[in-house]
Amino acid sequence: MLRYALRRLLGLFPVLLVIFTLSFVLMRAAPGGPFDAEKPVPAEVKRNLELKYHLREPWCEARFLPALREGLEPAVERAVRAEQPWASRAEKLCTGLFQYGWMLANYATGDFGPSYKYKDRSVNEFIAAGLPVTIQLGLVAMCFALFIGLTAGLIAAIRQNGWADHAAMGMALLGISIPNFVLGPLLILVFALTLVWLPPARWGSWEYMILPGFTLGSAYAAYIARLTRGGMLEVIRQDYIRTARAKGLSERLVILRHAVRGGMLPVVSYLGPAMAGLFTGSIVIERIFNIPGMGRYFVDAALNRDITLAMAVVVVDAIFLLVANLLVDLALGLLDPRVRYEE
Amino acid sequence: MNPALAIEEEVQGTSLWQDAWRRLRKNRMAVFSACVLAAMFLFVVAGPWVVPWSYEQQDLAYGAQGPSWQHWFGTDMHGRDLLVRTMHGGRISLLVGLLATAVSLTIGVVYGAISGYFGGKVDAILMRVVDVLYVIPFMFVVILFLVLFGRSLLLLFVALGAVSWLTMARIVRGQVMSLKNSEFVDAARAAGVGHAGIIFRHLVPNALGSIIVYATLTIPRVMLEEAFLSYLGLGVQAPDASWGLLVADGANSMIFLPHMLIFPGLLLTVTLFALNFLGDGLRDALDPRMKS
Amino acid sequence: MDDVLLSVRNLHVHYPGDDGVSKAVDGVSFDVPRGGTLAIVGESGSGKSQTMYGLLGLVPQPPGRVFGDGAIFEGEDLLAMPEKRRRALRGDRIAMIFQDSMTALNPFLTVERQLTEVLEAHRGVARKAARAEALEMLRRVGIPDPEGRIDQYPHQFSGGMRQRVMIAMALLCRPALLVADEPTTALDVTIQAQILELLKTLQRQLGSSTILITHDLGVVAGTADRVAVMYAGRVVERGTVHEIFEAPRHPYTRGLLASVPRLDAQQKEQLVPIPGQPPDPSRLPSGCPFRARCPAARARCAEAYPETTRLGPGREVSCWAA
Repeated sequence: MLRYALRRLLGLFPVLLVIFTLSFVLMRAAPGGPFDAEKPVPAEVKRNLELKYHLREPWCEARFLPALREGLEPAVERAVRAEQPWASRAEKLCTGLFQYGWMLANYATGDFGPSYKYKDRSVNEFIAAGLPVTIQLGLVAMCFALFIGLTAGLIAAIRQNGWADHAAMGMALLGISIPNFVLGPLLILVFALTLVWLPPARWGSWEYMILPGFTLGSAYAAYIARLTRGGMLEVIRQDYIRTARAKGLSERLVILRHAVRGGMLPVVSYLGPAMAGLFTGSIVIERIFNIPGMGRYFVDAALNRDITLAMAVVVVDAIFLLVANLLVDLALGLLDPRVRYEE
Repeated sequence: MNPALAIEEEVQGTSLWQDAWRRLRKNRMAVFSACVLAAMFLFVVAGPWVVPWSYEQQDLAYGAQGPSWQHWFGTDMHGRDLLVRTMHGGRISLLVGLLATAVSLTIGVVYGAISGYFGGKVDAILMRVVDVLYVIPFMFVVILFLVLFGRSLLLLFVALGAVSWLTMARIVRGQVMSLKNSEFVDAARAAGVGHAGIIFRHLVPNALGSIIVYATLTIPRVMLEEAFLSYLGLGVQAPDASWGLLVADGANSMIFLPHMLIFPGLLLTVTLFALNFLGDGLRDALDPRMKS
Repeated sequence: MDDVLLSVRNLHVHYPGDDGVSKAVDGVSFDVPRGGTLAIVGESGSGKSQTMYGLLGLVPQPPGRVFGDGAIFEGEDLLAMPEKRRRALRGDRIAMIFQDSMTALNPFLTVERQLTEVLEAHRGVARKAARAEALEMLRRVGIPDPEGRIDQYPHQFSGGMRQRVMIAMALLCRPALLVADEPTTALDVTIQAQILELLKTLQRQLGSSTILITHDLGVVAGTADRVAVMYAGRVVERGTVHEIFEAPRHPYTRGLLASVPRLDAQQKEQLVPIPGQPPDPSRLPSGCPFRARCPAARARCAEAYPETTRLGPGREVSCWAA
């Protein structure tokens, strides 16, 4: 079991590398850089900044420009003589590769580099500020989702085709259908502005967490309710439930001891993709409720062309997802003894 | 044995589709949802011809007003009639949903069918790619894409479709794998049908049930994602509208002008709800074991 | 009668459906002798298992309906008692073991848990004491190294061992009646013999009765005292095992016996299978349901279901041609 876990853990790194590379390519391909919207900077300062962001690599300059100058293409020579930093494609590629190397090394040590927009702040600062908030939000949302979803699903399965079942599943479907950016403002309107029970925005103590957590978790509560119901119904049809009843056990024991364990499996499997969705959903939730989390930073970064920040968020998110999926797989192994003891 | 005493049994065959259709018809909520969707379709397609305003027509002097006899849904900040904008937005939202699902379906079915049919190494590699792609936080990438490379409707379709094909591929692969050793495949092969023919004329049609169900459930998901992107300002741009964009505008002014949030929000929710219900109904009709 | 443990009269198990009512059990009567074994024989779909589910309260009502004239067990009517009482009897006085031990045992719980919970539920025994009793029972059913194996999961046992675990589970409360639903069908032939031997031994030791449900006449011959033959939801013939094997009166019984290979058969005798299929329980034909496959069918058979002819104490047959 432990060996399996370690093997899976090691398998994460190639995937992370792929994600990092894809993000990097996207970043390099993007038009614009850190300087576009700014007022013009003196050449010396600009060059220093370029070096800082690894947008200019002295080695490449030293090697390629002279080599090309001695080269054969007059057109290239003309471009090179115009001293445009992006003129030489080869130099660009060279610089790009170096930048990749630098960034990879930095990422491996946990340094996400400087922010494109806020020149004197590092991306790490933003992540350090935003990540805990988003994690808190995600946990609250997950708690709502599990509590509401499991209960509703269990009740629906036990009272199959009764009014409780239809009501629960109807609510679940509604939960999936209402976009969270419709639900959020509605909840704010009702609970924060009309009945002033809860604060409408921002982050702080537990009262601040309720509306955003519930809004974010509602869709997942709905999915979990449906999966629980489906899983439980599937399990209740199984022969071993009939055996449990034939032994004269109370219905409560039959459900809670015998049925729940098997019925939970689809829910546990779902937790992996659910966490992915939570992260994505937090983008909108943090916007609606004005919460300073990673999702918020991401959108601002994307809109401000703060590519290093955006890229770091993508990579951090990927790390979380991979680890979460791994934990889910391990949990499945723990819950299902058939997986655990392969004889 | 006296043949006169033989028990006559009338064997009346029904195909899978007829059975499914019968079950679907009996599911009242699913039928109701289909009607709602038809009505919605009519609303967004035919509606703008009936309403005297155009979706871009501004009347700045009028400003944002609540519902009135002239403007049944009220107007927005620029004095544009919300009813026709909601209709127009509906067109775009539904169009994006359908097209993106079509893209996702095409990629997913082809990918999954090939992977499932050939099996072995091909399958291992293709599925590994899917596993890796699954983990990539796609919305982030889509957002980055849209921000960096401009916001065009075409890019939107492609991006949204590209995000949702993964699960479709997995489903189709599963179906193809369980069907590929069936007798009818052997028969086709014996008749000289090539790989492509077997895959697309024999195997895929048999997996059509799952494909339809998943496609029907993908449409609302994609519409939600489009609404999400438009809400962030990355999808459809003004003066065009989509339900997501309208809700975004509405959310910003909801305290004083709740009608701007409520109408498009309601229509979006109802459409998504109906689509989900119909998808569920289709699934129950095609695979009734789960129901009772 | 004092030598009868369970007396069932006219039991029905119906399932209303879209195509009409499916009559899985359509009027079944039999007696289980005290300290003896009754074998219920029939093809799959004849209603053998459904009869037992109906008696024990394992048929979900709705949608099913279980009713009858009575099922007297130790002085109480199983069909008339409140569900709570029936639940108390299940697992305690009447226990059931099932055909497929792989699906009948909960794969997520240890064997220990599945054994001890029976004692906890019916005898109020604490977990530790229950564990000790469970270990003892595992030893008794022939599981080697019970201490080592009791904390394992069902999938870690072989088929034969799992069946023994099920038997142990059923016998923990020393039931008066054990219902074995095709206990050996899923097992190898050599293991079959062992399991049947085990059941016989335990029955003798505990003084209990057994209902053995099977489609295998070979199993019946070796273990049963009395036999009830079922077809399409009804008992078509019943009697002692000698009466049924040596002088079968119903054409179906005769057909079953003729299709079983026997060591004492003549070389040239052919095995004669019964042609055709059993009817759909929701579309039972008029009259006798066996008439389409019956070599002795006559006009009367299509008109009405045959009356039950009593040929002796506990010996009955339902056939117009008998």
